[in-house]
Amino acid sequence: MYPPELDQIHDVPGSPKVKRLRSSYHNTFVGENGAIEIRSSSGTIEFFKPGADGKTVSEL
Amino acid sequence: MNPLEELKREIESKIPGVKAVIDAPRDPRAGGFLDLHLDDHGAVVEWSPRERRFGVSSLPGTGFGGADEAYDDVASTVLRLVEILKEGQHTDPKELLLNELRDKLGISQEELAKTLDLRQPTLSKMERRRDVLISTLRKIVEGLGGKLEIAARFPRALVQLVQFTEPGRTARKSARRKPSRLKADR
Repeated sequence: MYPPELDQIHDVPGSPKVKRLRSSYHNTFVGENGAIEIRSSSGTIEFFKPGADGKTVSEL
Repeated sequence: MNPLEELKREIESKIPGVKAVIDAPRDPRAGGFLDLHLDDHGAVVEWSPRERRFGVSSLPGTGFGGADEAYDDVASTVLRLVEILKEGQHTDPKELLLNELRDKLGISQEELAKTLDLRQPTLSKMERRRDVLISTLRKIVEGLGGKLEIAARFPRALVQLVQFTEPGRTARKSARRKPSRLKADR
């Protein structure tokens, strides 16, 4: 998988604590608590990891 | 007009019913993506302002790399997207061995050897080597009708290294003075 490119940062509507980094087949979501979630372009969650406070991206 | 917007307009005019959505980042200099769907088939186009290219991907399932194919202009990108979306085709992964590339282009070893003024067994050996001179690789690629490019990828940049692929382009003398000289001037 290609690493997310910093110039491909998007805001996530309704989730100000989360940023989205776009690549061809995936979106990588990064929370300000360090949580990570990688979703395929079809929306399937391929990987997720909670942040330092135990919350996942979808809980932010 | 933004190249992705131009591509979107063209593809919508060529394929009625296509769903085309631009996904552009907040930095307008960074390019972006065009997501395309027609019935159950899809494709993704990435516009790279740095490389001035459209990257096209349409693999079954989930791909993990960058773009599979690259096109320099809107017209050729649209032609390929029409094939992909209307005929249900998939993109070809961009990694190929030299002999696979030659086969894909429909050029026989004998034909390429003749173009390069080589014996066919010599070309056969070259295609199986794990290392060749850059000048040799350039001749092979040009013999296939392409242009060799060598790039160095860094976390935030892609740099074309031209001195190995463009004859006559050699190292330029740096305009900066040596540190020792600067010290002596003080």
